[in-house]
Amino acid sequence: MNDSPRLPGRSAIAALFTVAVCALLAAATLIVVIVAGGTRPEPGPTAAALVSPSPTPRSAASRAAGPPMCLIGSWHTVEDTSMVTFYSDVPPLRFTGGGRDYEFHPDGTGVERQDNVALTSSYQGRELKIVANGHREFTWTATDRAITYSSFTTTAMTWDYYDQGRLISSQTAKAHSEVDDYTCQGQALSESSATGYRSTWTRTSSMGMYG
Amino acid sequence: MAGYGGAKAVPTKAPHTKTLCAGCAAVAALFAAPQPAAAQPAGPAEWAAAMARPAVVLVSVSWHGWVRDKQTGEVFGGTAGYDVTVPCSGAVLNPDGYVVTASHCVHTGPLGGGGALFDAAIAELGKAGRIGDPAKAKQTFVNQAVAEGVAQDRPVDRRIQVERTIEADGQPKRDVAPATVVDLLAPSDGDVAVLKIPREHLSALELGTDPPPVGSTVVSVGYPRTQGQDPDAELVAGSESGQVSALRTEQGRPFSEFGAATVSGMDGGPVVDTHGRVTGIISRTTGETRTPTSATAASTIAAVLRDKGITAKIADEDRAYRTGLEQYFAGDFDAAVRSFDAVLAASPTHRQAAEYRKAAIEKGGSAGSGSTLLIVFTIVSAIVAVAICAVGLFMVAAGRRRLVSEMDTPPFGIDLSPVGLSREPQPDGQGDTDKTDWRDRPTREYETEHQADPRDGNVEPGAPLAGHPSADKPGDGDQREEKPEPQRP
Repeated sequence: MNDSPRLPGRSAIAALFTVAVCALLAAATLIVVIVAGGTRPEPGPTAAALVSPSPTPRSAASRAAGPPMCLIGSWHTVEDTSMVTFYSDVPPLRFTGGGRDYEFHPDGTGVERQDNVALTSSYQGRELKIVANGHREFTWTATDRAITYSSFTTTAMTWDYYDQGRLISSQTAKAHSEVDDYTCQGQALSESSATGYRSTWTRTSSMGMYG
Repeated sequence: MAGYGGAKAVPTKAPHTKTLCAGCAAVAALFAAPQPAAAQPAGPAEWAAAMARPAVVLVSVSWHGWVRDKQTGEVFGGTAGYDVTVPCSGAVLNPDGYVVTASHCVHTGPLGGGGALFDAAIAELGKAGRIGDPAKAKQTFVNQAVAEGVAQDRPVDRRIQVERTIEADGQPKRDVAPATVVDLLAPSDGDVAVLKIPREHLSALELGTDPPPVGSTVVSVGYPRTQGQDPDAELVAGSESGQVSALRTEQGRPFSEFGAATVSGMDGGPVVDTHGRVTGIISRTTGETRTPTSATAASTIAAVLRDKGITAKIADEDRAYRTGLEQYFAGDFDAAVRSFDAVLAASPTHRQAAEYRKAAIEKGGSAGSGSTLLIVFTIVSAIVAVAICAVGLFMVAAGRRRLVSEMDTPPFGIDLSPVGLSREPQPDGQGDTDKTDWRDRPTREYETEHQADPRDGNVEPGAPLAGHPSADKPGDGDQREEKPEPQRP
């Protein structure tokens, strides 16, 4: 029988130290992991997306201006007022009427049609009338305020002058240029000139309309 | 349109309690209270929309050109031409910058950008009093007009840009990228276009393979265009759910019809199933809200991609986002935060991941919960290490004390030579107590006890130990047996 107390075995002490060292190493490793993982990773490649190509502005481009869109189409005059030299020895008289038809084509050509369109006036109790028939073709240009009629290419139009119902003269339209002011909005067009000419037109559907 | 943009699944804010002590929190985490109630989505549709939203982009197509009536020669658009911007939607189907949308959004023909320019001309003509029936006018233009560029027969100018909202410095920011058309099927023949943008690591959607069964729930996602307004300034994609009402074929191309109302702007947006897979893209909506909506089939999309050698695929961060959503809606906010962190690590500008991460934190999730456990484990490990060291040192010290005390208790004293020390006493010049102790040791008892080591078994004295050098060799340390030491009185 041996009652002598035992000194701890070498292996036991070594094991204890080994465990302790391992535990310390584990703790140190974990601390490193925590420190490394505690911060959010740096932005990846997508951060570069913020400086990736962006759309560039479009360079300016233009085409030659065409005729005013509003003018193009077909029109019918509902009210005309013209100052006409009816008698050679009498100053121009105010004639009124309506019923002329116009077409303004986008290629700068146009056509005017009159079918027994009458302008009437009176002078000293006498009933005066001018009746137009035929058509004429022309070229035209326009700004946003004025229309220039020029180069009547075809003139097959006559004006008959009636005094108290009696034909006193008949004239054929002559080529000439004319500049009139205008305003155009939707279905209405009005023209005027310094000579006292006034005209109100309304759009028709025979040309220039869609739908 | 209350239904649009209102389906954001990001939950409302919850009170957030600051943790005063990380260590306390760490310990408390071990005994954490039950997780808050799950932030369940309203249904599969909301889940699907949440899945899809990061990959849905705004496709903004700007057209510049003129319209010429080929019969009359009239050119509409004045000197500057028309500028028309058509908003559509799209879906990223490959993280490397490939976006799929409806081709009528980018096509130059009458059903695409040309038609948009026709519309602009018709609007202008309407103001000029030259339009009778707009629908008939449009048809007239389709029949006899052409949209063209700065000169006759030159193509119109088209600018495509893809917009999405990203997270930048904690704030939403629009990322606008120019796009080019990789390939397309005409609007009348499939209505699919593939775009490429100079971006990478985009959130992408998975492309489905089979057509959705009639009656199944699908969700359309896109950016609805409010009349006269751009899409939401923060680009929040709206979604509408509905059921597939029919599958049909149009000119050999499969389409599906579904009951989710869509409006202009959502064209080209994805139609996803309840798993978040793309089953088609919204095709040919009108300016009016319309239902049912037609959707190009996923198989058509796949064919276009395949022809160009493009693979529809998603990235790891898309899977992580899906996982995060699943965890979030399951109420596992800690895990959701970690998943969204993984998404943000790979894609720092992922806005939805940032939003859901924030929401998960507000619902009790912790970005550092994983670290918390590590901290606890570290503390425990350190304590164990210190304890073990202490125990070890204590045992060594106790052994020493015991040996010293036992020297006075013959005949049971044992050899004092500590492990690893020379058997011969080493003079230390300070009294040489070691020598005295050594000499006083009852060696026979020690030997007996030593040989009684269980490892040795019943080894006879003098016999070599198994696996040990022979004790009989000259010069061996066991020679002390032949030199009995005097015992202390």
